[in-house]
Amino acid sequence: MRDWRIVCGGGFLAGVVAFALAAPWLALRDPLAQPDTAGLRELPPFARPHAVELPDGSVRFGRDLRRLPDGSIEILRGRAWQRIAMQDAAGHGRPLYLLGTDGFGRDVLSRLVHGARVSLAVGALAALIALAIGTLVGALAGLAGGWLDALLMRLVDLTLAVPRLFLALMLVALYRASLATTIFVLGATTWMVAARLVRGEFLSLRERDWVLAARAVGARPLRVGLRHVLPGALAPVLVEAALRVGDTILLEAALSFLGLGVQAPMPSWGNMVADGRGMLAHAWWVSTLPGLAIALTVVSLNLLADAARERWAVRRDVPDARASSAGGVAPADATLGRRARGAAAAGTALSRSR
Amino acid sequence: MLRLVMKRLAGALPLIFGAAALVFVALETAPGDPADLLLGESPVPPEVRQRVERVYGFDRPPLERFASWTLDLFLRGDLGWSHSRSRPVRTLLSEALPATLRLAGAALLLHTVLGILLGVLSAAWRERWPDRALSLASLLLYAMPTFWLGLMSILLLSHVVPLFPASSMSSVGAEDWSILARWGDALWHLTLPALVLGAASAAGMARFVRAGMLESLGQEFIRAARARGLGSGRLLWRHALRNALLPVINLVGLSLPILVSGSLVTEVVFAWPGMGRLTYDAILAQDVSVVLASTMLAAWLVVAGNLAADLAMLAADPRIRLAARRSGA
Repeated sequence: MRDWRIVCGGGFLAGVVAFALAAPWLALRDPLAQPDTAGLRELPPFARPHAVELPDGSVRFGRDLRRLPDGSIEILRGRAWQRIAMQDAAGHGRPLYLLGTDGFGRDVLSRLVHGARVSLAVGALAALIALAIGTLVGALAGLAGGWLDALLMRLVDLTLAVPRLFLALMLVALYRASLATTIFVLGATTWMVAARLVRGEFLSLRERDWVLAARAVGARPLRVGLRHVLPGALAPVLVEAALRVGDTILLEAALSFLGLGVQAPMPSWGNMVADGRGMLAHAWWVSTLPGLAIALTVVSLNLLADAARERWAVRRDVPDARASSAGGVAPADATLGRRARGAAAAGTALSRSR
Repeated sequence: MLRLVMKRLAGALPLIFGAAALVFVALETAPGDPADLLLGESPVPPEVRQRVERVYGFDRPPLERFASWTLDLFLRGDLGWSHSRSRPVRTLLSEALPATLRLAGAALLLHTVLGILLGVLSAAWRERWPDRALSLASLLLYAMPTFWLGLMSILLLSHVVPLFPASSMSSVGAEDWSILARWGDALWHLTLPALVLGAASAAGMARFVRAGMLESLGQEFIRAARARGLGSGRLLWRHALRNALLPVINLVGLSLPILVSGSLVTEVVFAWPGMGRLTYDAILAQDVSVVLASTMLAAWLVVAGNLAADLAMLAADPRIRLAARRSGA
């Protein structure tokens, strides 16, 4: 039971999900608030800027504030430093910015946690859509066989031949980028692997004895499919689900990075990385931290999928020659060449049996 | 052999046109109007709008436009006109394609060499720390978004330790340099983007090679070779690797289109003037003819990659050659 992959991957993931769910109740700053853009911008992690409440009620922070050796406080007004009397300005303490601030003086920690909500939700929902479409198409093709099977599989080939990031970019660009569009487009462009997987499982399962028995008793095709075949295909679908969520998070990040995913003030891990791109040289944490969050989350999901695959003895068919987050993943035998590949498989089978 | 190639290419045509049609339908059913983008925000008299629509053909029915685009392509090799850049699509492609090929080619080389090297090494050290470290590293590389990996490499190797340039394909003024200096400069600019694009996908390749090597190391001819007293280096690199190389050849062919589309983000991060950037800009401008052309090109690459992989396998493995001959291809 003590599988380190489940402990590490599951632990990290549970942590991220818990933080994301609990975000509204954690004592976090508003992820959109820019209380003092001049004084708070690009503060490094662990920064504790001076905060002073002015007589007019406004709070000023760090950068345009300094404390002289005699204890008096000066504030930057325009271009000149101006001494303010202590009785005028109430000290506001030195708030801690654990992970620093971004270019607009927004709290990176808070944006990271709220970004987790967005990124995880987009990833999970889009993966759900992809799995639903994929399962439906795959089950239909696997159960029906014949021309419908051929037609659906050609559709899969066709969709795989267009690079996925191109397709997603195009759709998002055309249908106005928004949260809902992003989720839907990501789901609609990533269902193909699931469809192939489910079809394969159905093809191998429908010849089993219990399915034959159900059919002999006179169960209708729909019932056979739902009750007798689908449960058998569940394990590989679940593994695929874990991988798909990770993949979708990466794709969402790429879309948002290109400015076509989750839109500006709303934080997502992808657009946070994009925000920091211009200040990479002097404020590394703005881009680095959300990217790290993406990487660790996807690693966790993959560890879990690996462990599950081993436990449930799910075979791994198509080599996952995934490109990268860039997403152009056209898992393998997208087109032709099936014959030669079949021959190759036959060849290895031959040499193995000898 | 030739018949096989011809057959494949003929079989690929419907796929490529299907992909183009898919893209066309997506672009056509979208709510936006390319004329709006050309005309800008401020209101214009209807005559002007009509003229723009006439000139660029926006007023013709979609099916007719797709048909004429296809006919132009076939009869005259004409890819159409880019209304967002006011130049023929063919010129745009011929400018952008070499840049992408340079980047993707270098990345493919890195991907293959690094992938095989690391895969063989981790199979040789299986379950010991180098293998563990490599598999963890490859998982990490797989999980990192490419654009972030690119930004991190810029941060570390261009800002913190200023070794490589952060963007573009050559230095300013490099056109006047000697040919050797120009080549060096191009290579210098190529390093970071190729490393980012190639290393990330090399991780997957390494895992794949490792699995193949473990399988081939478990077979009897390896035991026989070991019994004959063969050194472990020769055993690993000559005997086991050759046997494991077949699916690898296949994978390399399949990686070609992946690298080309994967280069979109890399090109944006490194300001590399290639196909990815061109397509990205064209998508934003709803420039149908450019998007169609680059999609077709990408689909062609999928086909070409498959075909190249098949031919390479045919050349490498007599068993497949035999099977292909028997099936009459």
